[in-house]
Amino acid sequence: MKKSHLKYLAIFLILFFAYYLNFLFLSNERNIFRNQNHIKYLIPSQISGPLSMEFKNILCDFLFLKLITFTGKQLRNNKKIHDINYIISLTNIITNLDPLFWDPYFFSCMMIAWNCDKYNLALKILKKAEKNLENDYRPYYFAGFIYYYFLKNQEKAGEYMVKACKLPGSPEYLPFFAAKLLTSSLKHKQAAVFLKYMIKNTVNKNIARKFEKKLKSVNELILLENAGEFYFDKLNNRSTISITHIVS
Amino acid sequence: MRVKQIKAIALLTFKQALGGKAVYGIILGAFFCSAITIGLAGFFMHDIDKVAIDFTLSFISFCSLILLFFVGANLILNDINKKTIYFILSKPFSRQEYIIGKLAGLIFFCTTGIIIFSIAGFITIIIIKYMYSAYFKDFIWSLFFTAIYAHILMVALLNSIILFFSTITFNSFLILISSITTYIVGQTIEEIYFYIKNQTSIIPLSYFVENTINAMYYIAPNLALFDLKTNAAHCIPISKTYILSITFYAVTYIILITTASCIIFSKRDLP
Amino acid sequence: MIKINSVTKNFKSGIKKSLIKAVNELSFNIHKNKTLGIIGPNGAGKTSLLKMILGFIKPDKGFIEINEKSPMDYKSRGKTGYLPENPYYYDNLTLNELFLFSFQITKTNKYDFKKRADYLLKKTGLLSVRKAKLSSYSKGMLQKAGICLALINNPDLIIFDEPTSGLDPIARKILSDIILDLKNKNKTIIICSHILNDIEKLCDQIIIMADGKIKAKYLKKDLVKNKTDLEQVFIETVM
Repeated sequence: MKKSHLKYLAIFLILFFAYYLNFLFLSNERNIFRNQNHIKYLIPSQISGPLSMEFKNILCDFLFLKLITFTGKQLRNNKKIHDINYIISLTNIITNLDPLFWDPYFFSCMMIAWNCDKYNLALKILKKAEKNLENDYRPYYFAGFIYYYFLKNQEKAGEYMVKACKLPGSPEYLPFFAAKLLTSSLKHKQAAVFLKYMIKNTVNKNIARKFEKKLKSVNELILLENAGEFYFDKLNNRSTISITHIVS
Repeated sequence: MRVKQIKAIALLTFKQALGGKAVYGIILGAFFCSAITIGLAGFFMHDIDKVAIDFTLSFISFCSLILLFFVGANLILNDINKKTIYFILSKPFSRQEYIIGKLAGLIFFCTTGIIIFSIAGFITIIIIKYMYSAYFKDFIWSLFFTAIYAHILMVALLNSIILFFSTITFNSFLILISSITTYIVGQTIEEIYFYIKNQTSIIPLSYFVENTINAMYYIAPNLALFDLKTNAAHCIPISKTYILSITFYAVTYIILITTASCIIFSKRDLP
Repeated sequence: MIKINSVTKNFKSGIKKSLIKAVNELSFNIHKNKTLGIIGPNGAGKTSLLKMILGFIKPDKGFIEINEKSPMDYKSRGKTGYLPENPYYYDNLTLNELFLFSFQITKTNKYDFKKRADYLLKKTGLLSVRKAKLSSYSKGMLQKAGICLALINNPDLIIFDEPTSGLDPIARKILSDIILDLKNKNKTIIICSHILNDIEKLCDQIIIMADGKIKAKYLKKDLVKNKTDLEQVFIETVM
């Protein structure tokens, strides 16, 4: 290597080192500056929509990334989400700009349900998803999940799962789960109607056979339920009735 | 009007544009954007296909708009400012042939650019599809290419608008500003028109504002018609009649505005 | 023949749009196979006149006819060659590509066209750089390229606007030789220049313009006969 080249290399290395030191210092300063001057502003979709022109979709994607990083930062720093309104507002803007974008509905409702215990707010977000994603089973499925897991309302959960099952793309196990939820919430008749519907609309014969098996057991439960009702009616009328009579 | 002369000018314009170094920078930028898309797709949970298409189509739009406003527009301005137009018009060309040839060259150049960006986009989606194949079940290629076709129509229309402004004024700054303003108005006018139409029952607008918006809605090119990114991203089918009608709209608008450009330019003194 | 009849051209200038008379009631004819030299101080209206002959600008009053056609009609430029004052041709193209452009619009066959291109390139000394981008050309080379492009279609009317400005003595000699050659081939030539020696040497007819008007007209043979110095005449006429 020529001497002049070495000279240039040395100058370049010194400058690079100086730049690196400056960069480290500036990064630190910038972080302090950003924390001091943090403004959580949001531009409503009525304005950001027309402003973003043909780039609405990419704006949605970036806003969603902002939502993820914001939530992640709150969870990392505080172990809890404090600014729930910001999350809801941001989700609303994103879903107004692109109503068919499922990720923000899912992310926000799950974050709000798991970390903030605000189940009704989570269900409100899913309600919007139900409206916008007409043919999608996911909003019903996750609403059902929130009712089942957090609100312990098996009857409502069952209702939502039934709705989810009827939509394309729903998992194969879902009808059984829905039927289970309905039966365990003592809604056997609803479960039977639902299973009959599923048998009628299922092309796969193996799955249809499984539904038939499930329907058979549900029908038996209905029989028992009817008998039980009959027994209690009689009991209320104070007339005596034998157990054999009920079973028959 | 002679096709031979128009073809010669179109080819010259195309070669002139390709020779500019900025073009290669923009193409490099497009490939860089593709690489970013591959990296960013992983940040999303379910709608990876939607996000990949959003990013790819938006980058195609963005790069082609830069190409149009900063390379395409300069091609006409340089002709006037550096007086290369004298070289062409001292030869047996009519002014109409010059305008149409220039437009054809610009459209050819921008379309070539969009095709190159689309190849970069196509490769990006292939890679993302390979990486996250489970999320690409509903993806339809034909919708992706239809969105690109609609974008080409929009860029062709914008080319004719830039050319129109170049015939009105020879000031490069004014041409650029007017063209960008038309693009912004064209993209937003439909939304503003319908928004205001719905709102006027609640908050009455002044006669002037309402009529200005109405006039703009009919005069300005409705560029939102050509935005099919959402359809491509969410696999929402587009009818053939819609594609045919936007093609017809773009062609008629281009013919109309180019005729106006030809009339104005044939009456103007060159600087 | 070029007929110029009571041609007037005004330009508006400044914020107040004050009127500047570039060409004022100009009338004269340029005969076929003659070489006309137009001289005059800056702002005399020489370039405006040339632009009107080429159809780049329209006269406000009067008319111009080239072989009984309006200059705005592209057919009038079918056999015209033009060398502008500061020739500028697309930087990123080569001379070859510009020749190709000229070829695309001619009816000449490829062989004849190539032969003519080679002849012009040899004559101007640009043969070795024909494939180089024009951005690498010097001003003199660009001027020579301009000459090649003006003459490539074998025009009958050739218009030179300040053809020798910025050229070195050798390039000027080459250009003079080319113009003399064209003259011998009975082409109609119009030359606008500040360099009176060139005009005196090359032109049959000389017009002195000032303030948009013709101040004096001379035939070269009269100047030679009377042993009149053109520079002296020019200064006396314009001052």
